[in-house]
Amino acid sequence: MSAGMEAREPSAKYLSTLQPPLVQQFDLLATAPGGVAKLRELVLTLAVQGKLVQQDPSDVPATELLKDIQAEKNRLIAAKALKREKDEPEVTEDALPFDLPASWTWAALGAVIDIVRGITFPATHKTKEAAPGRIACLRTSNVQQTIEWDDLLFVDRSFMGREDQLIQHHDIVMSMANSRELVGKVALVDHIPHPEATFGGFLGVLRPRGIDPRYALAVLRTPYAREMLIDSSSQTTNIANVSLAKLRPLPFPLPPAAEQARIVTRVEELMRLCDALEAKGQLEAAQHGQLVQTLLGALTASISPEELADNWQRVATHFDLLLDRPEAIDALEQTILQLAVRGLLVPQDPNDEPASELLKKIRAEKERLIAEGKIKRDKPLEPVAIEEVPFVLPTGWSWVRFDELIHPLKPIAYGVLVPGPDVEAGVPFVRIADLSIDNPAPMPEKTISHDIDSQFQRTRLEGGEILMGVVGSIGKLGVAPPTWAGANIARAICRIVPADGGLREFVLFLLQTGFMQQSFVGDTRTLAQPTLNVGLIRQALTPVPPPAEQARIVARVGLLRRLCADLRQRLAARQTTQAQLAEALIDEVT
Amino acid sequence: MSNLSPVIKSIQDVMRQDSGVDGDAQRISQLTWLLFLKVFDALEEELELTRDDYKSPMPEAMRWRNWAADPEGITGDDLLDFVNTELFVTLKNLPADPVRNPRGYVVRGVFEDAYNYMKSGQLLRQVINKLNAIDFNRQSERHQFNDLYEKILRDLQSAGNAGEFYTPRAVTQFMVDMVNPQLGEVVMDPATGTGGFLVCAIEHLRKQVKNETNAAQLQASIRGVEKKQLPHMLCITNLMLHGIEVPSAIRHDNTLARPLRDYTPADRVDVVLTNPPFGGIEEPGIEQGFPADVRTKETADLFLVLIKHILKANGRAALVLPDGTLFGEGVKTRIKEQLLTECNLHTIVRLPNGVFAPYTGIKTNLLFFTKGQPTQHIWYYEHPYPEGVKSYNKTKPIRIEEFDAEKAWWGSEADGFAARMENERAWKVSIDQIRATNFNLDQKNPHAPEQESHDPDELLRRYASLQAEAQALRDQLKAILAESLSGARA
Repeated sequence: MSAGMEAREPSAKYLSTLQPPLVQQFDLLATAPGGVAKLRELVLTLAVQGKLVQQDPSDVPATELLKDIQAEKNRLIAAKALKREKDEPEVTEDALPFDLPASWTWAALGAVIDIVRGITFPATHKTKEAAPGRIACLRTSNVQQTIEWDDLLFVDRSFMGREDQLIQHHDIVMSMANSRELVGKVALVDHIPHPEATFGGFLGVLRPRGIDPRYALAVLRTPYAREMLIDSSSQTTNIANVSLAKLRPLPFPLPPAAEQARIVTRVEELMRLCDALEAKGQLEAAQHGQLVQTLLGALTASISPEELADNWQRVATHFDLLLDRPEAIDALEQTILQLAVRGLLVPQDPNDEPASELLKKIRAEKERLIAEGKIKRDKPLEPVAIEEVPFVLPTGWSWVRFDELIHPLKPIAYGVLVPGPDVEAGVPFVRIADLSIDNPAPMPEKTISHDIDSQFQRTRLEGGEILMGVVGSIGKLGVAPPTWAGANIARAICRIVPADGGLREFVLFLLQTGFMQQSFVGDTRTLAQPTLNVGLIRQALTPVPPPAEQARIVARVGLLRRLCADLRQRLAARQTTQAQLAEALIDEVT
Repeated sequence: MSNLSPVIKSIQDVMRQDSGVDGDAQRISQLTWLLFLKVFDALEEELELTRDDYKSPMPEAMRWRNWAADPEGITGDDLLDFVNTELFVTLKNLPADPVRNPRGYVVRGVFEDAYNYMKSGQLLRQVINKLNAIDFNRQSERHQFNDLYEKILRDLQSAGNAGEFYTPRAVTQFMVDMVNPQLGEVVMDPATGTGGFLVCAIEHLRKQVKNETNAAQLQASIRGVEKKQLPHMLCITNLMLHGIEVPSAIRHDNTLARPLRDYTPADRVDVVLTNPPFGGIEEPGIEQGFPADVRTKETADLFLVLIKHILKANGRAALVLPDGTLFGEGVKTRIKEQLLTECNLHTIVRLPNGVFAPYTGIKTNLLFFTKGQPTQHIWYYEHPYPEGVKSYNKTKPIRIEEFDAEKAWWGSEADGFAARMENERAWKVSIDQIRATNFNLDQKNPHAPEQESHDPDELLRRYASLQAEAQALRDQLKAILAESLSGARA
């Protein structure tokens, strides 16, 4: 016999050679998305393979336990306290999913667990109230991690056919008919808050006979058992059914009684640790979110460049810690926009032509068009009052009403109220779902008739317009690509065309800032759907920097946002990889 | 199988009660020599009927029928004593010459390193009696027994470190189908393990048997060598069950221990099919038998050199190799360069992780080559997991049907595989490209989108690189923000 062939139990091999990678990478595993859930599965899997606690050679072997269980059954059958099953379930050798320690044995699930189906009753006879003659009845929604005893049904006790349909302490309740993902879900009855309770027809009760019910629960919750249950279920369109005939022969790993107790103790201990890990993870995530909000919030609330510099120092010190998850990048991006809109992101240049000059030119152009009779004079907007200004702007900037930045010939307008059915070779029709700044579809899907389109000539697109949602998804933004020229827009969208003078990019940036978005959301009138009135958009308070600075802001913001997008993508990919790693590490040991 | 399966299970249960038998590997080992003797006896019974002059190579008293067959026969300490001091001693020392007494040679080979682990004569008698319940002479039970034997072999897979001897049936079958051995050719496995490739090849050749001469050709067409005792014993029994009367061409030896120059033309073979042990290291001195430029201690590499050497001109080979050998450098590079110069390595099928689970999770490849022509280009085929499968395991192993796509794509070597088309699984790499990468045969599929990996090491590398990229982006972001916000304003 060569040295390499010295006998070793398989478990020894696994523990000695395969656990180190999992242990080495434990932190990555435990903090991966869904990592703790994977750990729980691992605990259960190892438990039912006999790898979680040591075997004790002095334990009475499980084969003896199985004989005792059978003997007790035979005694009950002889005493007519139990009916003999028509056919004893048998485990098929080929279906055995893994090897067991020597002191264990495979048993058919039906040999160690009795299974009782629930009661059926007409839907018209269920009530929500307890009353004399009625009995509490569990249904699918009560079977969660534990049995949830609220929201029970109460039905006439006469629907219960047999006394064994009464719920007993330490019954395992199983969902026998459910979606494929949820079928076979189990929970243990650890208390019964009603004098009597039964269970509905989509449920089954698994009543362990001579084995520890908490051990049975652990087995039924392992991925292998779930998989076998699901595979054995018969599938209809939406519902998977577990049948007794399929359930009873499922292979059940049976340890010696003493080991069952040790396993249950160890599993419960490890599950408590998993709970703690999970809670810690949630707490950590919540605290991280709060920290990001606070520190970035302080940045935007800075009222002077000096204070800003101080606040930035604090963010900079912890930059890597703060920006280590995709959600934090979202917050940073909004902070960048908020800083930009206050003139805090790029330095001012005293030589820039002030914003007031640009505004004068726009006003002059408007007056000219009125004089020529091309447009009518609008009802004048309230001038910006000093009291409504939320913060002080840098030199060269001006506060205006949003409408002052709009092209005089193309006022803010929303589109077609009743688009009617799709029309072949009709006019392409833009709905909110079509809106996108960077990546709009070449052509919207819906079309409307030329007839309807002709009634809404003013909102016919030329390409390049800014489009914004005003009903439902208020503030959602898009830019019409050139391919949309000739299309029309929905009532839920308004068209925004800035005045000449290079304003378009800046206005698009402005509309994305939290400052402008919040003013729109705050202005919505509550109808059936929140709706933003065009008048309110026109009046919105708007900060305008000098044209040269506008260009610098747009360029700087664009650069920073591209970096944010790249970083967000890496962080999301890192999370995905971490989750895959967790799975791979666990696959290795099971 | 329904009636045999409980027999084997109850035998294992009896053995568990014996204090001498420890662990799956010993149980299987004990079961195997018993099975061997029983199968051997059954074959002899058949031969005595068909051949007038048949003479057993074993002394009368040692034959199964004479000490084991009677359920009321010797038991207890008498039995134990007989087995340990007579049976084993006699069989280990059978005067057997491979040419004049090949049957005796086979028996001695099996018992050379076999061992009786059982310490209780009573339990041993129980085991023997349970074995006697199986009638190996009935064709139907013989057939069932083959299936049962397969199962015992599969159990080996999970019995500690014995898994290295078992190649999944689907893989051996596919390789044999593609290499397509012909009657009259000699098929060799220099690391037989439990004989999976040879058995597959026998069944493949048996379909070509038309007459007595063919049948004799079949008997002489198999060669093999296995270094370790248990798989060797399993292999011998396996081959006898598959109709090889005298598997004397399966030697219990280390193939690599024989210096390469000692192989004569008579030793060369037409077909090599094998799954050499990966990751193993040979004992010092072994490499001295190999040419200086390819000397290495790594088992898989030496096997590659050996296979190339023992093929006849135009001989064909198919073997399993790990990824590590494909991309390895140094001596590995030289070995690959020689292989590509002397042989046409026309196809590499890349298998996903877990085909050999739980023995090893590493990625493996099937290499197909023909000696005589230099390689012009290599076709790669990436074998996917079947729909919905994330990994293979004991209950869901790789299945032969999964190779239907490869078989349909394969084409014919005679026309240089002219019919092969590139697709999302298949791609072609020229020898220039291979040479440019220093004979790295680990060529990635250019068509496939990046596969979700299940290799923890690869995932860790990816995690680290994403982490580094994120850090670089964060630094850039921080620098720009610092410039904007740290108060450096006019």
